[in-house]
Amino acid sequence: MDLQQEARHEVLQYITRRHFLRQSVTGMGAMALATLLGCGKTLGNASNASASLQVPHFAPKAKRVIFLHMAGAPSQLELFDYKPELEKLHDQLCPDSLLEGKRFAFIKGVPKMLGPQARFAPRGESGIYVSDFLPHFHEVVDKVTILKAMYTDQFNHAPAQLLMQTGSPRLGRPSMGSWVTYGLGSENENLPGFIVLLSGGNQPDAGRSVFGSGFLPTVYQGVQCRSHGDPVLYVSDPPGTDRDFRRQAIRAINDVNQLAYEETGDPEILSRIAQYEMAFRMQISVPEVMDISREPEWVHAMYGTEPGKTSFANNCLLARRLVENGVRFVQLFDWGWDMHGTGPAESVDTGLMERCKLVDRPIAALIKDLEQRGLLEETLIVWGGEFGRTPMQENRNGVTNPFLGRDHHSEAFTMWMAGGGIKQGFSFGETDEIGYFGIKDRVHVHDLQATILHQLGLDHERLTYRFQGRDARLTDVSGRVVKEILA
Amino acid sequence: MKYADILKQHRKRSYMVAAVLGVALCILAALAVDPENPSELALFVGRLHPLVVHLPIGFLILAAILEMLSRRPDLERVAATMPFVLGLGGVSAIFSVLAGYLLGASGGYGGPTVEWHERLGICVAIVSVLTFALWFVRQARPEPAVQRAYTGLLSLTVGLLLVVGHLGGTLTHGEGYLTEYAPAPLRYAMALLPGENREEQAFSRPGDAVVYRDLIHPILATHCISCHGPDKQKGDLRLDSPEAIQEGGDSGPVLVAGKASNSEIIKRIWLPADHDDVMPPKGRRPVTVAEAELLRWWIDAGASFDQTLADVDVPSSVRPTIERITGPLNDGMPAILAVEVPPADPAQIEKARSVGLTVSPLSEGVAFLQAHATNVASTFGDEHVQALLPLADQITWLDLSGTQISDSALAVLARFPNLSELDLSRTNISDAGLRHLSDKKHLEYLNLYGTTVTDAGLAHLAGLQELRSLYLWQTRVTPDGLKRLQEQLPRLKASLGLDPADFDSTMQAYAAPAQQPVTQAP
Repeated sequence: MDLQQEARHEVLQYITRRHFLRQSVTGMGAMALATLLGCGKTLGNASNASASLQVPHFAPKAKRVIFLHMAGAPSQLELFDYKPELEKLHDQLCPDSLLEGKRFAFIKGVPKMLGPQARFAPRGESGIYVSDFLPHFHEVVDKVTILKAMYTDQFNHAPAQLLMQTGSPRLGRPSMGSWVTYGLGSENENLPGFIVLLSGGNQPDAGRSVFGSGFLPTVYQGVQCRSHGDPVLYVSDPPGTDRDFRRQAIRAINDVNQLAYEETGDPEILSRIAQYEMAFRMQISVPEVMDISREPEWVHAMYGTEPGKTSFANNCLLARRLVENGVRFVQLFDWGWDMHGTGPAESVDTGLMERCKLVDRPIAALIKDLEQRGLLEETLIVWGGEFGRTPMQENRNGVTNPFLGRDHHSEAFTMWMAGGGIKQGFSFGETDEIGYFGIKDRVHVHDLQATILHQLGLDHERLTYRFQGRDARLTDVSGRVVKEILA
Repeated sequence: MKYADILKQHRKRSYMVAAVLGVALCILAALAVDPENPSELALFVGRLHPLVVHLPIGFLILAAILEMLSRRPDLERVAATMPFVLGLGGVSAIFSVLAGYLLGASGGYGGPTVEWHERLGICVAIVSVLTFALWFVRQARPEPAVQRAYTGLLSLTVGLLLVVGHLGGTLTHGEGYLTEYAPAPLRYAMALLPGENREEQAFSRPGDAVVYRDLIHPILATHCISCHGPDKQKGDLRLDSPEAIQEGGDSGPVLVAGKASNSEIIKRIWLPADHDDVMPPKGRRPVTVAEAELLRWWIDAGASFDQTLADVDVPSSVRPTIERITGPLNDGMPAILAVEVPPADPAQIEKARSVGLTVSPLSEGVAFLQAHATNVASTFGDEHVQALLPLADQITWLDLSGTQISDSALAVLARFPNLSELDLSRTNISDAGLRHLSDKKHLEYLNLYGTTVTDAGLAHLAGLQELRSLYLWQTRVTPDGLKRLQEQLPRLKASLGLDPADFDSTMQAYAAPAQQPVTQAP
């Protein structure tokens, strides 16, 4: 048999009846599997996902969210939750009744109680207690609602951050920003609807999953932007490539992708096409919006920003610029709030105070700046860590740590919200005399999430996505809108 | 048959009836020796009360019907059965009264409804016996006066019977059972009867409804309070007041605030219908699923007695039930939604989108639209505003910030009657343009920051009674000018923003001496 004959033989094999049937059956199976896996629902609606305008369930109070996540979990006992009783107990051994049945990340044996390491006083007209670690925050305390009896289910950073941002302590679920952009779409077609800004030198402990899109189409994942160097990695043109050529290249790639989509029906290909288009538009729009150097000098003075560096202050100013340009969800992570007392920078006295200096001024500036632009009432600002800290001093491996530190604590911590239809100068929730447990108006992480979605006009029970055979949602099977804090 | 014969025949029977009556009296009197500690036999007879009461009801009403029929000449003969029927009615009424007395003495009963039921029940027994007696008098002396007395007494018997029966029904089934689904005029008439005092709805807006008072208490009143209230206290439990509910009964606390599934009341409601402990008990009207869900939601939310609907989260599981009672909940939604507008023409929406505007519904099921020009701000000018004109009625939120529009665009916006939020910041508009906003009666939010507006322009806004947010940063408005406007609009919150010149001093405030920790490290 020569080569010619062999080739003809091969061709004939492809058109035998047996071959046809075998191929068909495999195809049918794949189609059935695709339906079972729930791909069908997204067919056709992911194509315009990035710029699509979905309709809210009810008229929203907030159009945008800025979430300031202090990764590592700041101590509520040094910032907002004033406990004079704990001061009296300072240095005494912790009674057994507080330790029975409790699990800690590091505390071993019997730790000592640790009094508050900051001075507290009522601030503003509302008279809410805030410590002297946050002098600029005193000026805006009448604009916020403080949630003093927050609680969570997790006492380690990664799962607690995942719970806060994705509603589940395990990997693989969409983050809040993804849910929101999935539910509401983006206002600005040249910018991603969900942008993430990092500071503090580290990623969140749970990695990029805290702003991932999980099982939602990947167009909804958070896009990380940087405040020095290229704002977004890998979108600038290589040297020698002009924008027209880039346009042509992307068009060609998208045409091929479109053919592949028509052949396979995989919705992720549509995401891919949308992302190429978005990346092309972002080449112009992102550097423009991310360039803070053209802000007037007094704005830099107000925020404490230094163009060209990576800092939480820069990120706050960027957050304002992004919401001003219609970005739906801006997520800031600032790493470095894990004050265990293992070193001077990790102490709840001087370490925490220094950390506060980096965020206090920009946060106050952000609130004031949004307000004077008329944006605060339609922008919801949320501040907090993933859990709280113990009223006991940490004694890692049973030995008191060299500096004053507190261990992870899931039962009580403080968060605050501002703008976006939330009450002003209001304190909600109460903890016991030592700030160990919430005793009144406790708010679970899922309740916070339900409330954030509610302010955006979304019913957390109706914002669902069918995955693995059921309608998944951000708040899973719980969550209650905290009506008491709504203006 | 002649009347005299009938009379003769019945006279014998009436002796018999009187004898039965006397025997019954003796037995019952013997049984009722000790009402404080009744014998088992007494309890047994007492519990016959709900059965036996239907006999006098039937007999006495039948007597009235027979009496009416016997007045027709062709049905005169019917009168022969009258003494028999009346007699049975009287005997059964007496027996019912005595059984009822024993039932009442067995405990768990009290309150005005029970007292009236008892008093009027005795009256029925007495009046029916008198009627029975008067029938014979009338036969002997058929004078008009006797005839009238007899008719009056029979009517009185039936009238009292209806009232007593209704009170008894109220004790068994709960207040409002009869009238719940009655036509409105009838319901109003019935409300005048004793024992019927349903409160009027005490809220004007749905959000003002008190969850316990307006949603929970009515359920308890319908299903529970007849046995656990002022009239009866089965299981030593009352559910008719917040204090009583918190107190609980023989089985302990009724509810655990925040934990419906641990609460006795919820557990009892969800027991199988044939279970001995199910509440309401076997045979009573069960709590509907919607009502049970409402109770569960209330307890899970903390079982507060004074929270209003506006204070609580209303999940979709109970929302329809609640809205049926209170009317639609709007959850503090925009006031503009009270205005009705026809849906916009989709073709016109597409047309507006074609000039780069983003137009979308305010929310699901609402004709109102929001529009913004974020994506085309740098090229969006006065001529483009025309594209929105066909949507003038529907557009209520409009964001034209940072666009190239000027006062002539505002002349177009003058024809948008339903604007409630308008953002004109960083545009070329001026005082002259604000004239076109002077009759925007729904306008709540107006953003003018970064424009050349002055105090003179604010004068055009003085009539905007709904205006609550006004942004004037980086304009030429002075604090005095703003103050004059706020005197006319006391609800208005306005912001002139920060003065960049102030910023150096704020900076210095931060450089203040570092704080020392209060307590030192050990």
